[in-house]
Amino acid sequence: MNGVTSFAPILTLSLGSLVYLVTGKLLERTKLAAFLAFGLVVAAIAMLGIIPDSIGESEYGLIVNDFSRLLAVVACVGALVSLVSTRAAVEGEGIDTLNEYYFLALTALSGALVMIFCSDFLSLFIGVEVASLALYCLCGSRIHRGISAESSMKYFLLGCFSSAFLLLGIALWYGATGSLSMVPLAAVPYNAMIFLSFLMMLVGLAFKVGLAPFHFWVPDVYQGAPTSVTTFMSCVVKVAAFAALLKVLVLGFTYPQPWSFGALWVLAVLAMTLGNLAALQQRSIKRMLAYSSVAQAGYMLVGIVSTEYGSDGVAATLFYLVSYCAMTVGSFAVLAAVGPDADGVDSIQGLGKRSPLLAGCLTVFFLGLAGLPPSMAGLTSKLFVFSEALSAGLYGLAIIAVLNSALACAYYFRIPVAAFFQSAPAQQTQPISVPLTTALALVLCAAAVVLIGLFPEPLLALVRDAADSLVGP
Amino acid sequence: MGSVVTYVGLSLVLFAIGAVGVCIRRNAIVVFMCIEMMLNAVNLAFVAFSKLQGNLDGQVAVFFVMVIAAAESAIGLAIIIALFRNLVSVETTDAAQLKW
Repeated sequence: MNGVTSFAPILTLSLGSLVYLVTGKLLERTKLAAFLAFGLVVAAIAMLGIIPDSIGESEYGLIVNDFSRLLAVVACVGALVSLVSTRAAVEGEGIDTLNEYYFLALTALSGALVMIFCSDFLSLFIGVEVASLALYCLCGSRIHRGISAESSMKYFLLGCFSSAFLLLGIALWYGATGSLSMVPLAAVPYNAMIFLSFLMMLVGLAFKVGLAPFHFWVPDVYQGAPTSVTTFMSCVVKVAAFAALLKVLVLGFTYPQPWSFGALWVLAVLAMTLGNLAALQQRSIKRMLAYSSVAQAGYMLVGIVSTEYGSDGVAATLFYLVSYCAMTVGSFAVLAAVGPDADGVDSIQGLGKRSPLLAGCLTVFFLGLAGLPPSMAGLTSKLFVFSEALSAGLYGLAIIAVLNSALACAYYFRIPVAAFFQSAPAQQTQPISVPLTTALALVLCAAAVVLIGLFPEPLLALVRDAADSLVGP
Repeated sequence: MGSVVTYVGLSLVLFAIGAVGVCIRRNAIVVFMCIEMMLNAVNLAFVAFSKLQGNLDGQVAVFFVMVIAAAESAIGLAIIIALFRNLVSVETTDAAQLKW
Protein backbone atom coordinates (compact mmCIF):
# COMPACT_ATOMS: atom_id res chain seq x y z
CA MET A 1 0.00 0.00 0.00
CA ASN A 2 1.85 3.06 -1.15
CA GLY A 3 -1.36 5.03 -1.48
CA VAL A 4 -1.25 8.54 -2.70
CA THR A 5 2.42 8.55 -3.75
CA SER A 6 1.47 7.07 -7.11
CA PHE A 7 -0.47 10.27 -7.76
CA ALA A 8 2.55 12.50 -7.06
CA PRO A 9 3.58 13.28 -10.68
CA ILE A 10 -0.01 13.92 -11.75
CA LEU A 11 -0.68 16.10 -8.70
CA THR A 12 2.50 18.06 -9.31
CA LEU A 13 1.35 18.96 -12.80
CA SER A 14 -2.32 19.61 -12.09
CA LEU A 15 -1.85 21.52 -8.82
CA GLY A 16 1.20 23.32 -10.20
CA SER A 17 -0.79 24.46 -13.21
CA LEU A 18 -3.23 26.20 -10.85
CA VAL A 19 -0.45 28.69 -10.03
CA TYR A 20 -1.05 30.20 -13.47
CA LEU A 21 -4.70 30.82 -12.71
CA VAL A 22 -3.95 32.34 -9.30
CA THR A 23 -1.11 34.67 -10.23
CA GLY A 24 -2.77 36.24 -13.24
CA LYS A 25 -0.56 38.66 -15.15
CA LEU A 26 2.28 38.60 -12.61
CA LEU A 27 4.02 35.56 -14.13
CA GLU A 28 3.63 36.87 -17.66
CA ARG A 29 5.25 40.21 -16.84
CA THR A 30 8.24 38.61 -15.15
CA LYS A 31 8.74 36.21 -18.12
CA LEU A 32 8.69 33.32 -15.68
CA ALA A 33 5.60 31.61 -17.11
CA ALA A 34 7.57 29.30 -19.38
CA PHE A 35 10.22 28.45 -16.79
CA LEU A 36 7.62 27.50 -14.18
CA ALA A 37 6.15 25.03 -16.68
CA PHE A 38 9.61 23.57 -17.44
CA GLY A 39 10.27 23.23 -13.70
CA LEU A 40 6.98 21.45 -13.06
CA VAL A 41 7.53 18.97 -15.88
CA VAL A 42 11.09 18.28 -14.70
CA ALA A 43 9.75 17.73 -11.16
CA ALA A 44 7.15 15.31 -12.53
CA ILE A 45 9.86 13.38 -14.40
CA ALA A 46 11.96 13.19 -11.23
CA MET A 47 8.97 11.86 -9.29
CA LEU A 48 8.26 9.28 -11.95
CA GLY A 49 11.76 8.01 -11.27
CA ILE A 50 11.26 7.59 -7.53
CA ILE A 51 7.63 6.51 -7.02
CA PRO A 52 7.47 2.80 -6.16
CA ASP A 53 5.64 0.24 -8.26
CA SER A 54 2.08 -0.52 -7.23
CA ILE A 55 1.68 -3.52 -4.97
CA GLY A 56 -1.21 -5.65 -6.12
CA GLU A 57 -3.23 -4.73 -9.13
CA SER A 58 -4.27 -1.14 -8.65
CA GLU A 59 -4.78 1.70 -6.24
CA TYR A 60 -7.46 4.32 -6.72
CA GLY A 61 -7.82 3.35 -10.35
CA LEU A 62 -4.15 4.00 -11.17
CA ILE A 63 -1.34 1.50 -11.54
CA VAL A 64 2.41 2.15 -11.51
CA ASN A 65 4.47 -0.47 -13.32
CA ASP A 66 7.29 -0.57 -15.85
CA PHE A 67 4.87 0.03 -18.71
CA SER A 68 3.17 3.11 -17.30
CA ARG A 69 6.42 4.49 -15.93
CA LEU A 70 8.22 4.26 -19.28
CA LEU A 71 5.41 5.82 -21.28
CA ALA A 72 4.83 8.53 -18.67
CA VAL A 73 8.51 9.49 -18.84
CA VAL A 74 8.33 9.54 -22.66
CA ALA A 75 5.23 11.76 -22.58
CA CYS A 76 6.79 14.13 -20.06
CA VAL A 77 10.14 14.35 -21.87
CA GLY A 78 8.32 14.89 -25.16
CA ALA A 79 6.24 17.63 -23.58
CA LEU A 80 9.34 19.23 -22.09
CA VAL A 81 11.22 19.19 -25.40
CA SER A 82 8.24 20.62 -27.25
CA LEU A 83 7.62 23.36 -24.66
CA VAL A 84 11.32 24.34 -24.50
CA SER A 85 11.85 24.31 -28.25
CA THR A 86 8.71 26.33 -29.01
CA ARG A 87 9.04 28.84 -26.15
CA ALA A 88 10.05 31.66 -28.47
CA ALA A 89 7.69 30.56 -31.25
CA VAL A 90 4.62 30.75 -29.01
CA GLU A 91 4.94 34.51 -28.71
CA GLY A 92 5.52 34.90 -32.45
CA GLU A 93 2.30 33.01 -33.09
CA GLY A 94 0.34 35.76 -31.39
CA ILE A 95 -0.73 33.66 -28.42
CA ASP A 96 -0.71 36.59 -25.99
CA THR A 97 -2.20 34.77 -23.02
CA LEU A 98 0.85 32.77 -21.97
CA ASN A 99 -0.64 31.97 -18.58
CA GLU A 100 -3.53 30.15 -20.14
CA TYR A 101 -1.31 28.48 -22.71
CA TYR A 102 0.93 26.89 -20.09
CA PHE A 103 -1.99 26.12 -17.78
CA LEU A 104 -3.72 24.21 -20.57
CA ALA A 105 -0.52 22.45 -21.65
CA LEU A 106 0.19 21.21 -18.12
CA THR A 107 -3.45 20.16 -17.67
CA ALA A 108 -3.33 18.23 -20.93
CA LEU A 109 -0.13 16.54 -19.79
CA SER A 110 -1.66 15.56 -16.45
CA GLY A 111 -4.67 14.10 -18.27
CA ALA A 112 -2.30 12.18 -20.53
CA LEU A 113 -0.54 10.77 -17.45
CA VAL A 114 -3.89 9.61 -16.04
CA MET A 115 -4.54 7.80 -19.34
CA ILE A 116 -1.12 6.16 -19.09
CA PHE A 117 -1.46 5.15 -15.43
CA CYS A 118 -5.12 4.10 -15.50
CA SER A 119 -6.15 0.65 -14.36
CA ASP A 120 -9.84 1.40 -14.31
CA PHE A 121 -12.15 2.42 -17.12
CA LEU A 122 -13.50 5.37 -15.20
CA SER A 123 -10.03 6.84 -14.71
CA LEU A 124 -9.31 6.11 -18.37
CA PHE A 125 -12.33 8.15 -19.40
CA ILE A 126 -11.49 11.00 -17.02
CA GLY A 127 -7.90 11.09 -18.29
CA VAL A 128 -9.05 11.12 -21.93
CA GLU A 129 -11.44 13.97 -21.24
CA VAL A 130 -9.05 16.10 -19.16
CA ALA A 131 -6.39 15.81 -21.86
CA SER A 132 -8.81 16.39 -24.72
CA LEU A 133 -10.67 19.34 -23.21
CA ALA A 134 -7.40 21.17 -22.60
CA LEU A 135 -6.22 20.42 -26.14
CA TYR A 136 -9.45 21.60 -27.78
CA CYS A 137 -8.77 25.00 -26.21
CA LEU A 138 -5.07 24.96 -27.11
CA CYS A 139 -5.88 24.29 -30.78
CA GLY A 140 -8.02 27.41 -30.87
CA SER A 141 -5.49 29.58 -29.04
CA ARG A 142 -4.75 31.77 -32.07
CA ILE A 143 -8.20 33.20 -31.61
CA HIS A 144 -8.04 35.71 -34.42
CA ARG A 145 -7.17 33.15 -37.05
CA GLY A 146 -10.05 31.42 -38.79
CA ILE A 147 -8.21 28.14 -39.31
CA SER A 148 -7.28 27.91 -35.64
CA ALA A 149 -10.94 28.27 -34.60
CA GLU A 150 -11.97 25.86 -37.32
CA SER A 151 -9.49 23.19 -36.25
CA SER A 152 -10.56 23.65 -32.66
CA MET A 153 -14.23 23.16 -33.57
CA LYS A 154 -13.54 20.08 -35.70
CA TYR A 155 -11.33 18.55 -33.02
CA PHE A 156 -13.94 19.29 -30.37
CA LEU A 157 -16.93 17.81 -32.19
CA LEU A 158 -15.13 14.71 -33.44
CA GLY A 159 -13.30 14.23 -30.14
CA CYS A 160 -16.53 14.34 -28.14
CA PHE A 161 -18.20 12.05 -30.66
CA SER A 162 -15.44 9.47 -30.22
CA SER A 163 -15.51 9.88 -26.43
CA ALA A 164 -19.19 8.95 -26.52
CA PHE A 165 -18.31 5.67 -28.25
CA LEU A 166 -15.57 4.98 -25.72
CA LEU A 167 -18.03 5.66 -22.91
CA LEU A 168 -20.66 3.34 -24.42
CA GLY A 169 -18.01 0.63 -24.57
CA ILE A 170 -17.20 1.23 -20.91
CA ALA A 171 -20.89 1.04 -19.95
CA LEU A 172 -21.27 -2.27 -21.78
CA TRP A 173 -18.14 -3.64 -20.10
CA TYR A 174 -19.65 -2.64 -16.75
CA GLY A 175 -22.92 -4.27 -17.70
CA ALA A 176 -21.16 -7.51 -18.59
CA THR A 177 -18.72 -7.74 -15.66
CA GLY A 178 -20.28 -5.61 -12.92
CA SER A 179 -17.04 -3.72 -12.39
CA LEU A 180 -15.27 -0.76 -13.94
CA SER A 181 -11.86 -2.26 -13.27
CA MET A 182 -9.69 -3.35 -16.18
CA VAL A 183 -8.91 -6.50 -14.20
CA PRO A 184 -12.21 -8.31 -13.67
CA LEU A 185 -12.49 -10.01 -10.27
CA ALA A 186 -13.96 -13.18 -11.70
CA ALA A 187 -13.44 -14.46 -15.22
CA VAL A 188 -16.49 -13.49 -17.23
CA PRO A 189 -17.29 -15.70 -20.21
CA TYR A 190 -17.24 -14.16 -23.66
CA ASN A 191 -20.59 -12.97 -24.87
CA ALA A 192 -22.14 -10.56 -27.32
CA MET A 193 -22.04 -7.68 -24.84
CA ILE A 194 -18.29 -8.03 -24.32
CA PHE A 195 -17.83 -8.16 -28.08
CA LEU A 196 -19.84 -4.96 -28.52
CA SER A 197 -18.00 -3.34 -25.62
CA PHE A 198 -14.56 -3.94 -27.15
CA LEU A 199 -15.79 -2.88 -30.57
CA MET A 200 -17.03 0.48 -29.20
CA MET A 201 -13.87 1.07 -27.15
CA LEU A 202 -11.73 0.23 -30.17
CA VAL A 203 -13.64 2.73 -32.32
CA GLY A 204 -13.31 5.43 -29.64
CA LEU A 205 -9.60 4.89 -29.07
CA ALA A 206 -8.81 4.49 -32.78
CA PHE A 207 -10.23 8.00 -33.17
CA LYS A 208 -7.95 9.29 -30.41
CA VAL A 209 -4.87 7.58 -31.84
CA GLY A 210 -5.77 8.68 -35.36
CA LEU A 211 -5.90 5.28 -37.06
CA ALA A 212 -7.53 5.07 -40.49
CA PRO A 213 -10.48 4.99 -41.14
CA PHE A 214 -11.01 7.16 -38.03
CA HIS A 215 -8.27 9.66 -38.87
CA PHE A 216 -10.08 12.44 -40.72
CA TRP A 217 -9.70 14.93 -37.87
CA VAL A 218 -5.89 14.51 -37.73
CA PRO A 219 -4.85 16.56 -40.80
CA ASP A 220 -7.27 19.41 -40.11
CA VAL A 221 -6.26 19.70 -36.48
CA TYR A 222 -2.52 19.36 -37.08
CA GLN A 223 -2.65 22.00 -39.80
CA GLY A 224 -5.03 24.48 -38.20
CA ALA A 225 -3.59 24.44 -34.69
CA PRO A 226 -0.64 26.74 -33.91
CA THR A 227 2.57 24.85 -34.73
CA SER A 228 3.73 24.94 -31.10
CA VAL A 229 0.51 23.18 -30.06
CA THR A 230 0.87 20.65 -32.86
CA THR A 231 4.40 19.92 -31.61
CA PHE A 232 3.05 19.28 -28.13
CA MET A 233 0.11 17.12 -29.12
CA SER A 234 1.89 15.12 -31.81
CA CYS A 235 3.88 13.46 -29.03
CA VAL A 236 1.83 13.65 -25.81
CA VAL A 237 -1.52 12.64 -27.32
CA LYS A 238 0.03 9.89 -29.40
CA VAL A 239 1.79 8.30 -26.42
CA ALA A 240 -1.21 8.56 -24.10
CA ALA A 241 -3.70 7.30 -26.65
CA PHE A 242 -1.43 4.40 -27.59
CA ALA A 243 -1.01 3.51 -23.91
CA ALA A 244 -4.78 3.41 -23.49
CA LEU A 245 -5.27 1.47 -26.72
CA LEU A 246 -2.63 -1.09 -25.67
CA LYS A 247 -4.25 -1.58 -22.26
CA VAL A 248 -7.68 -2.15 -23.79
CA LEU A 249 -6.34 -4.43 -26.53
CA VAL A 250 -4.35 -6.55 -24.08
CA LEU A 251 -7.50 -6.95 -22.00
CA GLY A 252 -9.37 -7.81 -25.18
CA PHE A 253 -6.76 -10.46 -26.05
CA THR A 254 -7.82 -12.40 -22.94
CA TYR A 255 -10.89 -13.29 -25.02
CA PRO A 256 -9.17 -14.83 -28.02
CA GLN A 257 -11.44 -14.72 -31.02
CA PRO A 258 -10.41 -15.73 -34.51
CA TRP A 259 -11.48 -12.43 -36.04
CA SER A 260 -9.87 -10.05 -33.53
CA PHE A 261 -6.36 -10.12 -34.99
CA GLY A 262 -7.89 -10.05 -38.46
CA ALA A 263 -9.67 -6.80 -37.60
CA LEU A 264 -6.42 -5.25 -36.31
CA TRP A 265 -4.64 -6.50 -39.44
CA VAL A 266 -7.15 -4.61 -41.59
CA LEU A 267 -6.83 -1.48 -39.43
CA ALA A 268 -3.02 -1.55 -39.71
CA VAL A 269 -3.08 -1.98 -43.50
CA LEU A 270 -5.69 0.77 -43.92
CA ALA A 271 -3.77 3.21 -41.70
CA MET A 272 -0.44 2.61 -43.46
CA THR A 273 -1.81 2.73 -46.99
CA LEU A 274 -4.37 5.52 -46.68
CA GLY A 275 -1.97 7.62 -44.60
CA ASN A 276 0.88 7.32 -47.08
CA LEU A 277 -1.26 7.79 -50.20
CA ALA A 278 -2.82 10.95 -48.75
CA ALA A 279 0.53 12.28 -47.54
CA LEU A 280 1.97 11.95 -51.06
CA GLN A 281 -0.44 14.57 -52.37
CA GLN A 282 0.04 17.25 -49.73
CA ARG A 283 1.55 20.68 -50.33
CA SER A 284 1.30 21.68 -46.68
CA ILE A 285 4.09 20.20 -44.56
CA LYS A 286 1.98 20.11 -41.41
CA ARG A 287 -0.73 18.25 -43.24
CA MET A 288 1.81 15.88 -44.73
CA LEU A 289 3.22 15.15 -41.27
CA ALA A 290 -0.34 14.58 -40.02
CA TYR A 291 -1.02 11.95 -42.66
CA SER A 292 2.41 10.51 -41.99
CA SER A 293 1.42 10.16 -38.32
CA VAL A 294 -1.57 8.11 -39.45
CA ALA A 295 0.74 5.87 -41.47
CA GLN A 296 3.24 5.59 -38.60
CA ALA A 297 0.42 4.58 -36.24
CA GLY A 298 -0.27 1.83 -38.75
CA TYR A 299 3.36 0.59 -38.52
CA MET A 300 3.03 0.57 -34.72
CA LEU A 301 -0.14 -1.47 -34.99
CA VAL A 302 1.82 -4.06 -37.01
CA GLY A 303 3.76 -4.81 -33.81
CA ILE A 304 0.53 -5.25 -31.86
CA VAL A 305 -0.93 -7.60 -34.47
CA SER A 306 2.19 -9.74 -34.00
CA THR A 307 1.61 -10.10 -30.24
CA GLU A 308 -0.43 -13.23 -30.71
CA TYR A 309 2.80 -15.08 -29.93
CA GLY A 310 4.05 -13.19 -26.87
CA SER A 311 5.05 -9.78 -25.59
CA ASP A 312 7.86 -9.09 -28.09
CA GLY A 313 5.43 -7.51 -30.53
CA VAL A 314 4.34 -5.00 -27.89
CA ALA A 315 8.00 -4.29 -27.12
CA ALA A 316 8.64 -3.53 -30.80
CA THR A 317 5.60 -1.24 -30.86
CA LEU A 318 6.81 0.63 -27.78
CA PHE A 319 10.29 1.02 -29.27
CA TYR A 320 8.72 2.44 -32.42
CA LEU A 321 6.51 4.76 -30.38
CA VAL A 322 9.48 6.20 -28.45
CA SER A 323 11.60 6.84 -31.52
CA TYR A 324 8.62 8.20 -33.46
CA CYS A 325 7.98 10.71 -30.68
CA ALA A 326 11.53 12.05 -30.88
CA MET A 327 11.24 12.45 -34.67
CA THR A 328 7.81 14.03 -34.80
CA VAL A 329 8.45 16.50 -31.96
CA GLY A 330 11.64 17.53 -33.73
CA SER A 331 9.99 17.99 -37.15
CA PHE A 332 7.20 20.19 -35.85
CA ALA A 333 9.56 22.13 -33.57
CA VAL A 334 11.74 23.01 -36.59
CA LEU A 335 8.65 24.25 -38.44
CA ALA A 336 7.66 26.33 -35.40
CA ALA A 337 11.16 27.83 -35.30
CA VAL A 338 11.04 28.74 -39.01
CA GLY A 339 8.02 30.95 -38.46
CA PRO A 340 4.46 31.09 -37.17
CA ASP A 341 2.98 30.54 -40.62
CA ALA A 342 5.60 28.16 -42.01
CA ASP A 343 3.48 25.46 -43.57
CA GLY A 344 3.84 25.19 -47.35
CA VAL A 345 6.93 23.62 -48.91
CA ASP A 346 7.94 27.08 -50.17
CA SER A 347 8.42 28.26 -46.59
CA ILE A 348 11.41 25.96 -46.08
CA GLN A 349 12.97 26.37 -49.53
CA GLY A 350 16.52 27.58 -49.06
CA LEU A 351 16.44 26.83 -45.35
CA GLY A 352 19.96 25.40 -45.65
CA LYS A 353 21.27 28.92 -46.29
CA ARG A 354 18.97 30.74 -43.90
CA SER A 355 19.70 28.49 -40.95
CA PRO A 356 21.99 25.47 -41.44
CA LEU A 357 21.16 24.26 -37.93
CA LEU A 358 17.41 24.08 -38.55
CA ALA A 359 17.89 22.53 -41.99
CA GLY A 360 20.30 19.93 -40.60
CA CYS A 361 17.95 18.95 -37.78
CA LEU A 362 15.01 18.83 -40.18
CA THR A 363 16.95 16.46 -42.42
CA VAL A 364 17.78 14.16 -39.50
CA PHE A 365 14.13 14.00 -38.44
CA PHE A 366 12.71 13.46 -41.91
CA LEU A 367 15.24 10.78 -42.80
CA GLY A 368 14.32 9.15 -39.50
CA LEU A 369 10.62 9.20 -40.37
CA ALA A 370 11.47 7.69 -43.74
CA GLY A 371 13.57 5.03 -41.98
CA LEU A 372 16.92 5.81 -43.59
CA PRO A 373 20.44 6.28 -42.21
CA PRO A 374 22.01 8.25 -40.59
CA SER A 375 18.87 8.76 -38.47
CA MET A 376 19.05 5.20 -37.26
CA ALA A 377 16.07 5.32 -34.87
CA GLY A 378 13.56 5.11 -37.71
CA LEU A 379 15.39 2.28 -39.44
CA THR A 380 15.99 0.24 -36.29
CA SER A 381 12.42 0.54 -35.05
CA LYS A 382 11.05 -0.38 -38.48
CA LEU A 383 13.32 -3.43 -38.52
CA PHE A 384 12.10 -4.52 -35.08
CA VAL A 385 8.44 -4.19 -36.00
CA PHE A 386 8.76 -5.87 -39.38
CA SER A 387 10.83 -8.74 -38.03
CA GLU A 388 8.17 -9.31 -35.35
CA ALA A 389 5.58 -9.54 -38.11
CA LEU A 390 7.78 -12.03 -39.99
CA SER A 391 8.43 -14.20 -36.95
CA ALA A 392 4.68 -14.25 -36.27
CA GLY A 393 4.23 -15.58 -39.79
CA LEU A 394 2.40 -12.49 -41.04
CA TYR A 395 4.24 -12.36 -44.36
CA GLY A 396 1.50 -10.45 -46.16
CA LEU A 397 1.43 -7.74 -43.51
CA ALA A 398 5.23 -7.43 -43.48
CA ILE A 399 5.35 -7.07 -47.27
CA ILE A 400 2.63 -4.39 -47.26
CA ALA A 401 4.48 -2.53 -44.49
CA VAL A 402 7.81 -2.62 -46.37
CA LEU A 403 6.17 -1.45 -49.61
CA ASN A 404 4.51 1.36 -47.68
CA SER A 405 7.78 2.54 -46.15
CA ALA A 406 9.36 2.58 -49.61
CA LEU A 407 6.42 4.64 -50.91
CA ALA A 408 6.72 7.03 -47.97
CA CYS A 409 10.33 7.91 -48.88
CA ALA A 410 8.94 9.79 -51.89
CA TYR A 411 7.29 12.48 -49.80
CA TYR A 412 9.75 12.56 -46.91
CA PHE A 413 12.62 13.25 -49.33
CA ARG A 414 10.95 16.32 -50.80
CA ILE A 415 11.49 18.30 -47.61
CA PRO A 416 15.30 18.00 -47.15
CA VAL A 417 15.67 18.47 -50.92
CA ALA A 418 13.65 21.69 -50.75
CA ALA A 419 15.68 22.86 -47.76
CA PHE A 420 19.10 22.33 -49.33
CA PHE A 421 18.78 22.29 -53.10
CA GLN A 422 16.06 24.83 -53.85
CA SER A 423 16.52 28.56 -53.46
CA ALA A 424 14.34 30.62 -51.18
CA PRO A 425 11.57 32.81 -52.62
CA ALA A 426 12.76 36.41 -52.99
CA GLN A 427 10.91 37.83 -49.99
CA GLN A 428 12.33 35.37 -47.46
CA THR A 429 16.10 35.13 -47.78
CA GLN A 430 17.13 36.73 -44.47
CA PRO A 431 18.79 34.34 -41.98
CA ILE A 432 16.66 32.95 -39.16
CA SER A 433 17.98 33.55 -35.66
CA VAL A 434 17.35 30.49 -33.50
CA PRO A 435 17.13 31.07 -29.73
CA LEU A 436 19.66 29.15 -27.68
CA THR A 437 17.07 27.03 -25.83
CA THR A 438 15.41 26.01 -29.09
CA ALA A 439 18.75 25.11 -30.66
CA LEU A 440 19.73 23.06 -27.63
CA ALA A 441 16.41 21.17 -27.52
CA LEU A 442 16.54 20.46 -31.25
CA VAL A 443 20.15 19.25 -31.21
CA LEU A 444 19.45 16.95 -28.24
CA CYS A 445 16.38 15.62 -30.01
CA ALA A 446 18.33 14.98 -33.21
CA ALA A 447 21.10 13.31 -31.22
CA ALA A 448 18.48 11.07 -29.57
CA VAL A 449 17.13 10.09 -32.99
CA VAL A 450 20.59 9.03 -34.15
CA LEU A 451 21.73 7.39 -30.90
CA ILE A 452 18.55 5.39 -30.17
CA GLY A 453 19.11 3.61 -33.45
CA LEU A 454 22.88 3.13 -33.13
CA PHE A 455 22.71 1.83 -29.55
CA PRO A 456 19.26 0.28 -29.20
CA GLU A 457 20.10 -2.09 -26.31
CA PRO A 458 19.33 0.19 -23.31
CA LEU A 459 15.97 1.27 -24.71
CA LEU A 460 15.26 -2.26 -25.87
CA ALA A 461 15.75 -3.56 -22.31
CA LEU A 462 13.36 -0.90 -21.02
CA VAL A 463 10.62 -1.61 -23.57
CA ARG A 464 10.93 -5.37 -22.98
CA ASP A 465 10.35 -4.88 -19.24
CA ALA A 466 7.47 -2.54 -20.03
CA ALA A 467 5.87 -5.02 -22.44
CA ASP A 468 6.30 -7.84 -19.90
CA SER A 469 4.61 -5.80 -17.19
CA LEU A 470 1.70 -5.14 -19.55
CA VAL A 471 1.21 -8.52 -21.18
CA GLY A 472 2.88 -10.82 -18.66
CA PRO A 473 6.16 -12.51 -19.62
CA MET B 1 -34.46 -8.29 -15.52
CA GLY B 2 -37.04 -7.56 -18.18
CA SER B 3 -37.12 -3.89 -17.27
CA VAL B 4 -33.31 -3.64 -17.43
CA VAL B 5 -33.40 -4.85 -21.02
CA THR B 6 -36.00 -2.18 -21.79
CA TYR B 7 -33.86 0.60 -20.33
CA VAL B 8 -30.70 -0.58 -22.07
CA GLY B 9 -32.64 -0.89 -25.31
CA LEU B 10 -33.95 2.66 -24.89
CA SER B 11 -30.46 3.93 -24.19
CA LEU B 12 -29.07 2.25 -27.31
CA VAL B 13 -31.87 3.76 -29.39
CA LEU B 14 -31.14 7.23 -27.98
CA PHE B 15 -27.42 6.72 -28.63
CA ALA B 16 -28.12 5.73 -32.23
CA ILE B 17 -30.39 8.75 -32.77
CA GLY B 18 -27.64 11.00 -31.43
CA ALA B 19 -25.01 9.37 -33.64
CA VAL B 20 -27.19 9.75 -36.74
CA GLY B 21 -27.81 13.38 -35.79
CA VAL B 22 -24.06 14.05 -35.56
CA CYS B 23 -23.62 12.61 -39.03
CA ILE B 24 -26.44 14.42 -40.83
CA ARG B 25 -26.81 17.80 -39.11
CA ARG B 26 -24.63 20.72 -40.22
CA ASN B 27 -25.17 23.25 -37.42
CA ALA B 28 -22.36 22.98 -34.85
CA ILE B 29 -24.68 23.64 -31.93
CA VAL B 30 -27.16 20.97 -33.02
CA VAL B 31 -24.29 18.52 -33.57
CA PHE B 32 -23.12 19.29 -30.07
CA MET B 33 -26.63 18.70 -28.68
CA CYS B 34 -26.65 15.32 -30.41
CA ILE B 35 -23.33 14.46 -28.72
CA GLU B 36 -24.79 15.43 -25.35
CA MET B 37 -27.70 13.12 -26.09
CA MET B 38 -25.29 10.26 -26.77
CA LEU B 39 -23.55 10.87 -23.42
CA ASN B 40 -26.86 10.95 -21.57
CA ALA B 41 -27.98 7.78 -23.33
CA VAL B 42 -24.88 6.09 -21.93
CA ASN B 43 -25.74 7.48 -18.48
CA LEU B 44 -29.10 5.72 -18.70
CA ALA B 45 -27.32 2.49 -19.58
CA PHE B 46 -24.96 2.92 -16.61
CA VAL B 47 -27.89 3.30 -14.20
CA ALA B 48 -29.73 0.33 -15.67
CA PHE B 49 -26.61 -1.86 -15.47
CA SER B 50 -26.03 -0.67 -11.93
CA LYS B 51 -29.48 -1.99 -11.00
CA LEU B 52 -28.76 -5.23 -12.85
CA GLN B 53 -25.40 -5.80 -11.19
CA GLY B 54 -26.56 -4.72 -7.75
CA ASN B 55 -23.65 -2.35 -7.03
CA LEU B 56 -23.26 1.39 -7.13
CA ASP B 57 -20.21 1.72 -9.40
CA GLY B 58 -22.37 2.55 -12.39
CA GLN B 59 -24.25 5.29 -10.59
CA VAL B 60 -20.98 6.83 -9.41
CA ALA B 61 -19.76 6.77 -13.01
CA VAL B 62 -22.85 8.74 -14.02
CA PHE B 63 -21.84 11.59 -11.72
CA PHE B 64 -18.40 11.74 -13.28
CA VAL B 65 -19.88 11.71 -16.77
CA MET B 66 -22.29 14.51 -15.86
CA VAL B 67 -19.45 16.68 -14.55
CA ILE B 68 -17.38 16.01 -17.65
CA ALA B 69 -20.36 16.76 -19.91
CA ALA B 70 -20.81 20.08 -18.12
CA ALA B 71 -17.15 20.96 -18.68
CA GLU B 72 -17.54 19.89 -22.29
CA SER B 73 -20.49 22.23 -22.84
CA ALA B 74 -18.61 25.17 -21.32
CA ILE B 75 -15.63 24.61 -23.59
CA GLY B 76 -17.70 23.62 -26.60
CA LEU B 77 -19.87 26.73 -26.55
CA ALA B 78 -16.76 28.89 -26.12
CA ILE B 79 -15.19 27.25 -29.15
CA ILE B 80 -18.36 27.70 -31.20
CA ILE B 81 -18.44 31.40 -30.23
CA ALA B 82 -14.79 31.76 -31.29
CA LEU B 83 -15.71 30.15 -34.60
CA PHE B 84 -18.67 32.49 -35.02
CA ARG B 85 -16.44 35.51 -34.46
CA ASN B 86 -14.22 34.39 -37.32
CA LEU B 87 -16.80 33.08 -39.76
CA VAL B 88 -20.07 34.78 -38.71
CA SER B 89 -21.63 31.34 -39.01
CA VAL B 90 -21.81 28.12 -37.01
CA GLU B 91 -22.55 25.85 -39.95
CA THR B 92 -19.92 23.12 -40.20
CA THR B 93 -20.08 23.36 -44.00
CA ASP B 94 -18.89 26.99 -43.83
CA ALA B 95 -15.83 25.97 -41.81
CA ALA B 96 -14.02 24.61 -44.84
CA GLN B 97 -10.68 26.40 -45.04
CA LEU B 98 -8.89 23.21 -44.05
CA LYS B 99 -9.14 20.47 -46.62
CA TRP B 100 -6.94 18.28 -48.77
